[in-house]
Amino acid sequence: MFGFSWLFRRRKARPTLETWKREQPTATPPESEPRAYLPDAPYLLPKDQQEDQRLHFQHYALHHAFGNHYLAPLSPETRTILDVGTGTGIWAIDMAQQFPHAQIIGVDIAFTSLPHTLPNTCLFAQADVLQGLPFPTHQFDFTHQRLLVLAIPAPRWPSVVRELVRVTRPQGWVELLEAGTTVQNAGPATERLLSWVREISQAQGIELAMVTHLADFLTQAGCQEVEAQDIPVPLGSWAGRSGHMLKLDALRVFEALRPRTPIAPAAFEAMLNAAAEEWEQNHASYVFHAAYGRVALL
Amino acid sequence: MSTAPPLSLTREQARRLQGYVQTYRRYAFASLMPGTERNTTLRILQALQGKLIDVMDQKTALFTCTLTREEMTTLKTMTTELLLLYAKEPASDQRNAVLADLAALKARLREGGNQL
Repeated sequence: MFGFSWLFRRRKARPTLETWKREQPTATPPESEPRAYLPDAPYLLPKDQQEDQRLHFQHYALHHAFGNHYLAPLSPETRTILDVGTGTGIWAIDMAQQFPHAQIIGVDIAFTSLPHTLPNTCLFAQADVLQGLPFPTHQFDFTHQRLLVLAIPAPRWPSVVRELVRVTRPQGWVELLEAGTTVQNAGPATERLLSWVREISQAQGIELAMVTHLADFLTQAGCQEVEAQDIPVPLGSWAGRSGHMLKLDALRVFEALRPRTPIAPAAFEAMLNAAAEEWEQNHASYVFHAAYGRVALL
Repeated sequence: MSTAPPLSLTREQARRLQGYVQTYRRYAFASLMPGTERNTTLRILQALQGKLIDVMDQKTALFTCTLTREEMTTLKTMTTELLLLYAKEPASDQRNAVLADLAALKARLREGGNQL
């Protein structure tokens, strides 16, 4: 299979759906333990068990928001799928249920978040997209990457997308989904938070505005039929289950970024609470940026 | 899963139908609140779009697309909603052409989709 089996790992036991439901984040995060971050990687979010729980929760929040795990109009005959920045592997695992005949490969710079048991059709490879992917050209029918904006330095975006396109077969699809710093109906506390996120990102060489150029990157890398859409997702319990889930996720993201700043925990928490209140009062929506395109025929 | 009578399409008709599905998906993501009904409709249309692109890749002039009854029902709903949306736009030759095309599509879908 692909001749790359030496790259892959399988695990033995996997937390059940019930486990993650029990462990889902609450509005008030547990009293702060020191968070673990990846050394030698420009990734702003932590890499620890708490973050793994958040990523699982976020996966289901996004499914509620978008109605599916992907946006490209995939053929039912899709047979090879790559997930870049797979994290906990939950996207790959759920895609294995939707495409039972497909071989799905997830790559990430660290394996620590993977569950212990996996569907037979899922494999995981340790790889850093910033260093190039360990796959031949034109390998996959569908290549997917989402929510990696806090891991990709601004000047690297074009080369990262070129790499995704390189490993995708002609007529195959490449899909990108990212979150930026646009909140519709944001109030002053939310604007302050977003401005602060932009500042700490920029200090690390990360430019959140890159997410508004996803379609350009795909086109420049050789994709056709590129479809781009900014999708506002209701943020807050005012919008029912979907909005409530996204609110919890957003609070956890901000909380996870807090150690990157000198702001005192109490002041930070006050700002977060004020922002959350604004989302409810103003009926805010968080804007996601999606783009997908088809790799041109040779 | 029961199937509706097959839908015979020319390449151009399939291209237009694919465009309508894309337009509707864009509208729904931008304007409708997430929920079970919206998401089910979007999933069905996305899968249908994948099927359409698949058959269009076959390079034949005329092809047949087999739709499930669920897909057929969703297409009818989509067509009705698109008709309402386009009807609100300022009058123009292009809008009128789209309205006529959508009305024809709706009629064929109502007939059972054995022709388009």
